[in-house]
Amino acid sequence: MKKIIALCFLMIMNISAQTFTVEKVKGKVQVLKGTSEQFVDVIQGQTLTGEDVLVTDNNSFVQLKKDNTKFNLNSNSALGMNYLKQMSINDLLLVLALEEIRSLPKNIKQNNSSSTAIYGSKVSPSKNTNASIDEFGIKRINGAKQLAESGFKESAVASAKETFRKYPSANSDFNGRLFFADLLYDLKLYEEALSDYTKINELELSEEERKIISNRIEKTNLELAEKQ
Amino acid sequence: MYLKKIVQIIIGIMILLGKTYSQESFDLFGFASYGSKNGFRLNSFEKNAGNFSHSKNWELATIFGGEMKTGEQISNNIYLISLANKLDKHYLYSRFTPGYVKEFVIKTGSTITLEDSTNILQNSIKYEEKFGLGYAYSIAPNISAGFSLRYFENALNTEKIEFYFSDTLNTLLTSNEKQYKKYWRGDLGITYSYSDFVRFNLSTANLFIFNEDGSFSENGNLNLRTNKSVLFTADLFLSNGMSSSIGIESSGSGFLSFNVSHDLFYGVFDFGVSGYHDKFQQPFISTVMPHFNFRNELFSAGVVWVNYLQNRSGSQPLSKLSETGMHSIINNQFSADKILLNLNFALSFKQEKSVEFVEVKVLAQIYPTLSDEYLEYPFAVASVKNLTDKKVTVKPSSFIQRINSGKVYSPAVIIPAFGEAEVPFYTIIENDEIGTSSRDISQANFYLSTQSSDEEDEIQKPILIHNKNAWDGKVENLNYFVMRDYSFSSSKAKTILKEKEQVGNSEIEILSDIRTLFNSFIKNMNYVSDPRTSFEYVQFPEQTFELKGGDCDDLSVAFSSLLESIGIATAFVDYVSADKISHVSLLINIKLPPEKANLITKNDKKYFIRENSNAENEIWIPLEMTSLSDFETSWNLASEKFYREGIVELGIAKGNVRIIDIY
Repeated sequence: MKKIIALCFLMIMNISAQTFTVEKVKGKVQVLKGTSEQFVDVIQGQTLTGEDVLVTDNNSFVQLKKDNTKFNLNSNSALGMNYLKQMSINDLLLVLALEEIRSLPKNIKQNNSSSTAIYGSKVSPSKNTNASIDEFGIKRINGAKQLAESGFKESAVASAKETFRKYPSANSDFNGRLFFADLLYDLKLYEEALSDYTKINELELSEEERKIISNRIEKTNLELAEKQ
Repeated sequence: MYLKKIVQIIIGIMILLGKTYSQESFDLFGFASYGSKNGFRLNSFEKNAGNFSHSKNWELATIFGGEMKTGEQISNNIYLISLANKLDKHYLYSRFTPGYVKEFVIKTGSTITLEDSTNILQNSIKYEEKFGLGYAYSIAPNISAGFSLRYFENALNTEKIEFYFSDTLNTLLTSNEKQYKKYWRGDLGITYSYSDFVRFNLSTANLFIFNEDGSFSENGNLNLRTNKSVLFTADLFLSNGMSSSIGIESSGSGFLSFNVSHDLFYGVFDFGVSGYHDKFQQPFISTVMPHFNFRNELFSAGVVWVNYLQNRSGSQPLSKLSETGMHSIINNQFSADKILLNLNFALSFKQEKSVEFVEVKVLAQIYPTLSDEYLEYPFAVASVKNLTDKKVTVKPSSFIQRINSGKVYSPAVIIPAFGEAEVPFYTIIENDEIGTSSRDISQANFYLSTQSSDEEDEIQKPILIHNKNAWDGKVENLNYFVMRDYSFSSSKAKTILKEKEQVGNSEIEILSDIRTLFNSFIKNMNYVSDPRTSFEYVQFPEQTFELKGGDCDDLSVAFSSLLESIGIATAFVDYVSADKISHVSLLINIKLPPEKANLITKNDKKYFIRENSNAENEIWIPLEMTSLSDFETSWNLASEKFYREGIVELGIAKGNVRIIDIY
């Protein structure tokens, strides 16, 4: 039933203009508009645009409406409204390519900015996690999962990829990573799925998790072998 | 096309003029290959009426030798002295031939007996080629055509008895009656090189006989025959030093030659043998002519043995000469074996080119500030041909007036034998202090040299030199403008930061420095468009500070220079719109890991994560320079644009938004 609803949603949703009306609000729901630093409460009837980020708290819920379609964002979730759209496989592949572009060219000496002895000390990558930023990353992943469950699989992967990069704690979450790697598998992007499974396999995993990921890798390799 | 027409004309003339016969292709040089690797002519009008030659200099040649008649002493003679010169596409040749003489003495059988002596009356016939002139023109690199003119003089001397009567004494005396026939002979020839390995030649014999003077009257049969014929030769040069040549005359006479060449003592040693078939001589192969020859760039020396396979009797009946006629002065049924020494000298010591330019393409205009570009990418590329049968290492060099103080050498290139290769030219900008308001056309000289010599070929091409503020429009090359004033920028940045208070949190100290520098920098700036010029114009950081303004390129370059000069990494963000109009802003590395992002912002759209070479993620923030407002506003404006166009619209992945690191 959920799939049918999602399919209907997909069919009728106008994805070009990213404006949504808030139909229902329950609990604490806030929006971060544009480049603002302030979260503000969402109220019923408010219009949201593609540049907004919607955040729900515990036991909270928001329902968005666009034309005759509706989308629910459940509790403890965050979603960039720009991802609430149907994305093509080609666009998803471009997003995945962007992950490679993010890296600095290898011929650049990254240490050149470490010579700021006078003006500041070198900042080492911190292992300490920050509660609020970790929480926000988890909310982003929750939002992306709901996108996927509503049929926006490609957008969900794109949203998750950005989240994993910006929120390292989300990046080390086995279940979250596995969910979106499986989405790539479902989309028959086997090489991309295999790449993700391999990276997950490099995390610190329990035996059970290791077994799961090994099975996934084996299964994906079989698919790739069949393709060839 | 030319070749076909000329062949048709020559054959047509031959057919119209009637029967053709007699061998004319015999000369005294033997077959010392005259392939493209040979700088000397090494043949004469007989085989080469069209005067084809690879000689590039003044050339002096001589043939000295001796004829070995049965029962007689060897008669020495200088057979030929020639002088030739090549002037661009024109080749001029002249020869003096004192040894091209054949003389017969005919004893009449009449004896005069006086009181104290006996005289036998005798006649003589003398055939002489006096001298010759030749000319050739190189119609195309592989086609040469020319003509030759030769002057002949035949003389018949008849001794007669004269009786003188007087009152007291009757006297019997002998007197000479001389008859002459003098004339000019003209011939045409054309040579076509199908490739470096195959060449064809077509030439005539006795095509034009003109300016005739005198005759042998009733002894016309004794004249040197001037029957017309056509000679076709084909030369084959194999890459292993072997070569062969075949010549066929329309008379049915001909020759076949083989030659082997081998490098020896800084030169080339040739050995070969030729066999001649002459319709009027016996046996079928009447002459075998072995030869050997040594040549280098300055001279050629060879020995030829002309060996007739039939014994030549010292005397023969006059009727035989009268019947068969005399067809060639140097090769006839009465000729005897000869040993000949050939010497050829290059009179000017200009070295033969081993490589030459085929074409030079100037790929880039010169923007003096983009100095390292011309070390990394060639500003010109040449197509260069190896003219030799050995691989050659070419050392290319160039000199651009106003830019270079001397020749700039580019990497050497090896070109295979007779091959062609692309040779890139790089340069160094030694003088970038070129005016600020103008651009100019300068001359670029390109040179080729090899290990054995200097400057084998040279060519000059115009090249556009811009002024030092000109930019080629590639955002990648704004780097050069950023780095230009580092010492100024560093001093400026340190002065500004001197007044700044520490924020107390070392993790965000860099962002604090950027904020301080930006607010100080931008408060005095105005947005000023580029001057109206036909080229892109970028100010150096110091100029932007002096002028207190600029456009997006100038402001981005100046602020990037401030940051880079104190070790803060920056990148240009190049937004390319559909109408190709570009906008440039900055992305700045604040050296903060993603885990600490909340120290600078709650909004994750305001930063971009990049992985450094140590596989560590770092936060980079966008910054717009043209808002001319405070740091926070500029950051927000830049973030909105960057997130919308770069991330949401996938501009970075699609290439519409490019991140170009400065290093």
